[in-house]
Amino acid sequence: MGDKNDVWQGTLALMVLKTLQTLGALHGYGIARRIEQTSGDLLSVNYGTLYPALLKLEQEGYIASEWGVSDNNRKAKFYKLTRAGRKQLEREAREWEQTTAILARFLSSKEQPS
Amino acid sequence: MNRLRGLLARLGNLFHKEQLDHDLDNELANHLELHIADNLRAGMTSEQARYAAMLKLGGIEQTKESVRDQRGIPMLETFLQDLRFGLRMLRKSPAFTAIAILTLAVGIGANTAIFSFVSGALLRSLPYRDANRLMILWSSEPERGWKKNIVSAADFADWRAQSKSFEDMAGYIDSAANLSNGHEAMAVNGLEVTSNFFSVLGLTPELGQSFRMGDDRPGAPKVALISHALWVQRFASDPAIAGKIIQLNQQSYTILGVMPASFVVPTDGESDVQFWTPFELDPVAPVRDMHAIFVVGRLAAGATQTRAQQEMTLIAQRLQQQYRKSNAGWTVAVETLNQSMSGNVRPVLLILMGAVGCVLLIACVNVANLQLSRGVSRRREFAIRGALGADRKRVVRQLLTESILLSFSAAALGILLAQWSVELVRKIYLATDPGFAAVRVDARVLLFTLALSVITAFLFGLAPAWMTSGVNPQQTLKESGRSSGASAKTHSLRGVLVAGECALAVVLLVGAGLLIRTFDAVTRVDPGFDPHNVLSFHVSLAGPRYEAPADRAVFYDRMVEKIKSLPGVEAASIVTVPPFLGYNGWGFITEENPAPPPEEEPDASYQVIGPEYFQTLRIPLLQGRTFTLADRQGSALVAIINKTLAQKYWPGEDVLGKHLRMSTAEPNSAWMTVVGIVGDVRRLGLAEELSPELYVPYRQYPWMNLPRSAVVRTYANPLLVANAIRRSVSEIDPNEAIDSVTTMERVIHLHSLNDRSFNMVLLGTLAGLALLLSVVGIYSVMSYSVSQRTQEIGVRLALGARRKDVLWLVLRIGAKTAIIGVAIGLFASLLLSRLMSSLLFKVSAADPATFISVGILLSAVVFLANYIPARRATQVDPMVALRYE
Repeated sequence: MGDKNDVWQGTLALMVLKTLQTLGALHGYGIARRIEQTSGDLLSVNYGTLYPALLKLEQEGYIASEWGVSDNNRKAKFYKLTRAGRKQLEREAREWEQTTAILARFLSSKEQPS
Repeated sequence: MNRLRGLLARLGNLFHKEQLDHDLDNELANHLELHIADNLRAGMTSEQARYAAMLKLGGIEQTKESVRDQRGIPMLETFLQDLRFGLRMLRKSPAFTAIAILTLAVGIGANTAIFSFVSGALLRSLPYRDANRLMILWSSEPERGWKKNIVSAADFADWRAQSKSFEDMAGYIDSAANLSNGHEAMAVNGLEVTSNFFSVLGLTPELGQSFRMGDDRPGAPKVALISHALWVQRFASDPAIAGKIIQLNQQSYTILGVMPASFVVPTDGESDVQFWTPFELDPVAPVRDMHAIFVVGRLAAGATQTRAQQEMTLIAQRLQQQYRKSNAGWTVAVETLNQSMSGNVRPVLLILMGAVGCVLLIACVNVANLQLSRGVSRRREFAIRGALGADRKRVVRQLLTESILLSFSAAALGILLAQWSVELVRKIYLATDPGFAAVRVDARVLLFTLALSVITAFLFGLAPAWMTSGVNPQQTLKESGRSSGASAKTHSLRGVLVAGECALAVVLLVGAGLLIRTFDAVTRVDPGFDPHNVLSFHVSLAGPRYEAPADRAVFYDRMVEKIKSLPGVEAASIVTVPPFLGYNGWGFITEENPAPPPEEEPDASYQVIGPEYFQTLRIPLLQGRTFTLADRQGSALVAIINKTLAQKYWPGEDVLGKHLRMSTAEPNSAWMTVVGIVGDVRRLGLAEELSPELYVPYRQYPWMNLPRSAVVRTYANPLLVANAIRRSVSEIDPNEAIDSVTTMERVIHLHSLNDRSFNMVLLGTLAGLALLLSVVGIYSVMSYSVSQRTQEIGVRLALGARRKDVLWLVLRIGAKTAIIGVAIGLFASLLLSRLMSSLLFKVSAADPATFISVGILLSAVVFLANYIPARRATQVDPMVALRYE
């Protein structure tokens, strides 16, 4: 794990929170598929990296998990957003929008030779 | 906030790993199944579907591993893993574990025990506000050896007025009184204090109020504070005690309040004080040439001990010039309360602390040696771990964890040992020294032990761990099975350790040897009198009733007469202070030299006695006569002097008939004539110099000092007449009570032998431990290295070497190490023993007898520890040795 991964972990967490807000309770595989689909298959990572991220969010109290039954009639672990998670999502989304806005402005500014 | 929550969750996860692993397995299996199902639906074959799903997940094991890292705290888990593994390793070799723990427990236990003395005596916390800002101020005349003397009332007043580094100063004097309140009279100890005494100390009464300004002015109404113990004992904890009246020496005092039980006298930590009264400081003409007051001061904000000392020295110099007659040579010594209270024990405790540190070092050396030997036999284990990818740091960490385990177990055992031995010592010495009450294994001591055991683990664990972990996996594994000898590196480390161990043992033995020789020398000193069957006691005769000398003399006459008529009593006399119980020094002048410069004025211990004093103590009369009943008021003034005084001031002259006079006496008053010379008595202790002593008869009402003690010689155990004496005294005056009843033998023991026996026994025990540990250590190292060489010895014997030569070969190495160790130890002792010269008596710090015998003793012991395994090695059958693995 290096710095790149940390950046990825940060955005991954945001994606997870957003996914759970949109779709409600979901198991790990479902979250992974949803993120992949939403990103238009541009984003392709190992699904395995999702699980430590889920655990971390759960430890921090942003999501909660419980065992339920999945489509294939098996016991599966479902994750859902907590109240703290909802707030965190708002906060992070706002920050993310600010960052992208700044970056967008920065990148679109034309160089003006004096 | 959420981070902390995360950390707590991770900590919690350390405890139900299996359940979590199981859940994770399920979750991942389900993930794969869902993915495979999706893939099948997309038209893959079942094999492709499985493969693609696995690929996408990125490896089940890797995923699990990273989830586990997120789940717990990896470093802590490694530690716990090491701990479990360490426990298993230690259980696997119980002999090693037991020996190591026992050795370390002795070392750590001894340190814990000695530290509880240090903590109790040197680091003792005092009941006063900001106690570290309080200083004791002494009058000091270093030239004459009076480094810490009490202060004259005039000097005290000047210091108080002139110094800026002190917020305020208070003075106090020991006092004693008879408390009579309808009950039987009771002798009580007290302090006369300036009215600001408790405000300087920052101590408030637990009941009622403290002294007020002006309570110490002459003529102020008489008030008193009483101690918690007296309040409980004598006044049944009466909550309305304030305002009641008590009789001290038949004078009425109004009780202002009750002081808490935590009170101790600032100078010496004594807690046996039952009452406090304000003393009357004469503001008009305070006495300048009588030193009587203890002074305690509180540093002003921003002042330090050093600054205060500097300022006080300047003030003293000014006073020297101003009052040459009384102040010539006198300066001031400023010390902290802790310095004052632990003055005598500080050097002893520091030496003991050093000694016990040496014992621990020896214990560490032994365990380090054991670790080294074990490390050799565990080389394969480390090689395999190395081959599996553990780096050296990881192996060292594992070994240090084992060391910590050992040292913590040892600490637990050591604390038990310490608790037990501290209790033992406390029981023995508490009766004679109340300071031992503060000695216990408390939280501070336990904290010290905890820190010590961590340090210990590194001391004995780090070097062996580093050394044994540095194995080359390939080579070691290739050597498979063959017990290869230890490397040259570990060999030389062992040599250093053994030599160091010898050196430490030598240092301790020399220290103990010097103390034993000192104790022996002290017990051989002749006190100058026969203490056997002599009782001594105290009778205060304070108060207005005995203010007139004639009244006092009548009381003494009757008391001595009554005591002498008791069955079993041979002789009795009153005396100012019996030998060993104090010094009562006064200046005097002789007819030959009536006006000496102040700093050369002669002085002597001044004792007011009865006619039978010398007979009672069996002090030999060398010349002239003793006092008789005819030496009374009106007859010519007489004095008896001791041999030292005669030789010092009239060397080689016929002393009988010479004249002298106390220097405080009126000019032109009558001279005293020397009528006798008696043998010298050790006034201040067996190990003290002989001092000049001057005796005068009480019936001549000799000037101010009133005798307050008596000595009685009996035919049998003197304590048997104590009660009869008590009754006789209360028959003469029911308001008088005797106290401090003891035998002179006990006085000598307490005063001169008790502390020394304590030092000797403690340091002796430590030295014994050191010797034992180092012998065991040397023996085990030698046995081990001989056993390593069994094969080589077999080869030599098979090739025709004589046993004698082989024996010598083995012995030589051990002998060399030992000699180096002993030599270093003796040299170090030579440097270190000087530090303890204050504890020695009639023995030089470089006492050849001690050094030589310790050198021989240790060499002999080390030789034996070498010889036994060496001899065993040469006894082996060459054939067996050759096959020996």
